[in-house]
Amino acid sequence: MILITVSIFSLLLTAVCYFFSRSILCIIFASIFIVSNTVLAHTLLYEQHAIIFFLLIAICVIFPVSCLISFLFDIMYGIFCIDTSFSLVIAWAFLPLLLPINLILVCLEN
Amino acid sequence: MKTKKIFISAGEASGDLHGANLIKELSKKDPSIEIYGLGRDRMVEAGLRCIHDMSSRSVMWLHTLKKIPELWEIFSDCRRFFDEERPELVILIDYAGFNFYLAKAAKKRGIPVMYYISPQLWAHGPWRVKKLKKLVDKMVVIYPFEETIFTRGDVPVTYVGHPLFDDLCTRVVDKEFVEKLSHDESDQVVSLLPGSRKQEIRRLLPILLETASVIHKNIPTTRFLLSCSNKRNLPLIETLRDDYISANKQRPLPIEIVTERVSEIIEASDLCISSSGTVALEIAFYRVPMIICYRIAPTAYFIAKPFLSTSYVCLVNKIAERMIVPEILMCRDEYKWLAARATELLSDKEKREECIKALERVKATIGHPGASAKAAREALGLIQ
Repeated sequence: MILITVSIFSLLLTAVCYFFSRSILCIIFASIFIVSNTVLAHTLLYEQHAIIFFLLIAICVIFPVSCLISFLFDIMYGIFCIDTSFSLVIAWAFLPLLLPINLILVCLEN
Repeated sequence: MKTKKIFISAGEASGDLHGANLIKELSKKDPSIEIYGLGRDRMVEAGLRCIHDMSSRSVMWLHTLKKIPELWEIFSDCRRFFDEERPELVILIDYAGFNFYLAKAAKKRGIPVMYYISPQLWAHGPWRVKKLKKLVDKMVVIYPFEETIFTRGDVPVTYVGHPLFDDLCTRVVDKEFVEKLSHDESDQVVSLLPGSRKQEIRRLLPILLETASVIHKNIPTTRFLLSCSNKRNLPLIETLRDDYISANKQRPLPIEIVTERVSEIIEASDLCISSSGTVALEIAFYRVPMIICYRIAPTAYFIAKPFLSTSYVCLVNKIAERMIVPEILMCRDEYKWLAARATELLSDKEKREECIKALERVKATIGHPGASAKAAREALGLIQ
């Protein structure tokens, strides 16, 4: 229950900080969101469905975080020809996805 | 003596027009130059030896994904051209993204690159200056405020003025047609300019029609002109207008669609309600009060908002560095706001005069011809 609450609040705070361009706070809350969700998914899935757990982490965490890191490098060093601001769309589409999946899993478990 | 070859790439319709003017100026200054590249009808008419026709390749957002195979093929052909023909100079006109790849390919082969009409770094993504610094030998910019951005980023830059004014200063407006459009002096004419891209029209036109309806309710003598800047968009515009009219039969709207006569429409109007873009400069050129709007999806606004680097979406306000014409970036259908501003500009004489005077000042700042000639001079300077 604590992990679910932390996830929901950290996601909301990430969104608010992002919208108002509070970058450091946004990174802190996003990290809390990612860690709490990953731990929750691990608790709910890892023992019985390890492959699904890794697949979810790859899609909902590793892929968007890699895109965000590329975006950050692009801002700092201008390394890509493509407009990497598209990474933000990917991040906002995939990162929060783990929360409803976890909520469904919790409901199914109960 | 070896013939000098220049490669030019323009993807958008506006780029095609500016590219055509640039080609004419280049040919005037040095008739022996051969110009190859990517463009559309107008560039071909001006003398471009077209490697690929770029009509219907101007897309935005996710629609770009569908075009990747086509664009890849074009890119491969351009690389082959660079290898086989070794042009003296590559000139890229706007169309960021694809043109960045061409710049990289040219740079890799040691071909100088001039970027004419910068991507809108002043509006979003100013960090792209770093990319341009690596990819481009010379930036030739069209707005005075862009010069500062590139100078600060340590990129060689020259401000040449906006090429739109080359065209506007020589364009002959059909006065008879203007008279016909504004036939009754007692009526007030409001023109609606929903943009040139289909996606943009679909998003904006329903709001503009709703706005027109409220204006007509406030000032019943108002008539409306709906601009269709390209014949290709006419079926879409007619469908959207007819859908609106059939859904609002109890509130008939005096609205007329006018195709490919933007200057005449502006000249005949007392007020323009337009999408954001270069058209704002054209409206300013004719000193007609305007309202500028841009419709964006709420999710897109949420994602883009922290990275917007300008206080104004309208070019006229950006040049004046203050809000001289009302502008709005809409997430919702803000037709009531638009109608209120429009009614104010139509009925408050003082506000109108103030707006027209401010537009005159903007015109005096930027509305001079000669941009294409100056850009051509910069280009020739790079190969001599």
